[in-house]
Amino acid sequence: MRNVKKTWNSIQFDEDELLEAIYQKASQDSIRPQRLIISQEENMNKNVWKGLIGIGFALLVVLGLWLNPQTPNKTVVEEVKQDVVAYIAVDINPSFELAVLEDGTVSTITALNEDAETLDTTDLIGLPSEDVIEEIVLMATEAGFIDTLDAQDDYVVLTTVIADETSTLTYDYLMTRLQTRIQDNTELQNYYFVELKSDMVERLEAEGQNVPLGLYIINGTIETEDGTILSAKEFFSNPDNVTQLQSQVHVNITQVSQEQLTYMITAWLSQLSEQGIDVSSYQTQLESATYEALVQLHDDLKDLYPDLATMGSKNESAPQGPSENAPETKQSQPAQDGTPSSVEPSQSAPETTGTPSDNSKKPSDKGKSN
Amino acid sequence: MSWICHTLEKTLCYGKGMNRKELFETIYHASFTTLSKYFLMKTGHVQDAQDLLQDMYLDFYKMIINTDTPIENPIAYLKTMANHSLSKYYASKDQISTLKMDSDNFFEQIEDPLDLEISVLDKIDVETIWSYVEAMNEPVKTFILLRYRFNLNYREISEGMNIPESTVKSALYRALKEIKEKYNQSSSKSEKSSSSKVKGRM
Repeated sequence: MRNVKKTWNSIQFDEDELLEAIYQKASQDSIRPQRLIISQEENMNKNVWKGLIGIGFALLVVLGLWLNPQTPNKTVVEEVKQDVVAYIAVDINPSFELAVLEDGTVSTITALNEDAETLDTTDLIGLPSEDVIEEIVLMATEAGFIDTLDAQDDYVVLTTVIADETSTLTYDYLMTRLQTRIQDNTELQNYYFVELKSDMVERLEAEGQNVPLGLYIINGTIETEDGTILSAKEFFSNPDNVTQLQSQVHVNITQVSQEQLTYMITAWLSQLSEQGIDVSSYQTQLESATYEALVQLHDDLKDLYPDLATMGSKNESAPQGPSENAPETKQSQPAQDGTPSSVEPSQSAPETTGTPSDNSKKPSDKGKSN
Repeated sequence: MSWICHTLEKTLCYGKGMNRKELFETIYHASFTTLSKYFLMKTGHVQDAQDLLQDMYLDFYKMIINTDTPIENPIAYLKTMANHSLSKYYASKDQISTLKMDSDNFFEQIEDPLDLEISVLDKIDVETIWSYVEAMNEPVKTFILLRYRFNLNYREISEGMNIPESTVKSALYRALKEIKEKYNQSSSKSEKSSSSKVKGRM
């Protein structure tokens, strides 16, 4: 029977026949393997050089490891990427890519733009991914890339790519660990974490266009006039973009803390009041608002006064009044795949309700609780 | 960016000293069986699976020829490409074909098809078997390929296609029985016609 079974290969799914068909189709599309057009002599010369360079490189690596085996040098780490099972792109404005190993620790941190290059992340290599993300966010805040005291919402876009689907390390596992960290650290609750899931194809496409992965995905859901890539802050300042993103991509956006929301809304109401706009009804709502009501009020104000969300601080120019096209209330749309709407408090959102004791002050608890 | 030495399933080092066509063929041969099975299981349709597989490898070949971006894990990359193809495939289908069987017979006690397998596969050549299989419906054709072309057992087919094992077993048993009957009928017909020719001559 075994002999008979072998001949099945030539009946269907014939490996060689299919390969031939692929080459035929490729030649019809004028695809030619570039490196086949090399003269034999040229090829031999290249091989000699390749051999010499290869030996030299191997000697350098061995020498480097012997001299300093503990230093996680980025060039050397690049060569042992076979254990990398996932990538997490972190886009704030500094953009990084973390290579994550099977055990959930980070083996490489790659700075993807100039802002990222100004931050030293060397000490973070070897830490669990949620630790690294936490540290990067706090470092970016400390360096002034994020200002939680201004009147803007602060977004951190996290895009996860599972490179090895056979790995036990899954998207859900990584995100659950991060959610737990956000719950544990009140300072992280000042930011909106946008969690996206991507794949190796999109990662390569983004790399090919020299755009950080998270920005590549979110910008892919909208059309800008001249095709410019918006930063995370620019993108999320427009509520329409968020709605568009949620309708096209599997996305989860964590909510900020009640204190941060209250602080933000108070700052906005103060700006509107300075313009002579009557905000008394909003202030009444704010005083007795539950967490859900705060989220709704925040979104309503963003819709009615879009300029609020793009202002650098409350000392800058005042907003220009309600947008003519602004809807009365924001109707967040659930994603097509059933992803929960961002305005619904996520599991990580604090469930405390009640009136904040002092709305005009910034939350005082800025320390890390872990 | 130069092609550097990466690992393919942690055993095969590729890219070093290879031209791009050789690189493609190395990855192609290393991944062909896995991805063939994957497409078969996910589509439950032989022809569609083969078309999707070919298109996916063609795209992969173009990518290798046209770009300098090294792929760190080609198997994972191909699986992702496969999932993309399947997403488009599912979107283009109004409904995915499901196995239609008599519900009364669905969970009937199935004899172990092993004896039948031996009697069919040892006596009838593969070309003849396939000529009968081609007339059968999907996903029975897919079951037959997974079982006899890719040597999967019933449990593996069942798990891969998310279909009860008893269904797979039952469908294969009936298919083999049908093949055997058709073969016997055609044999007896050809015997009769040859004997009548002989009688006619006499």
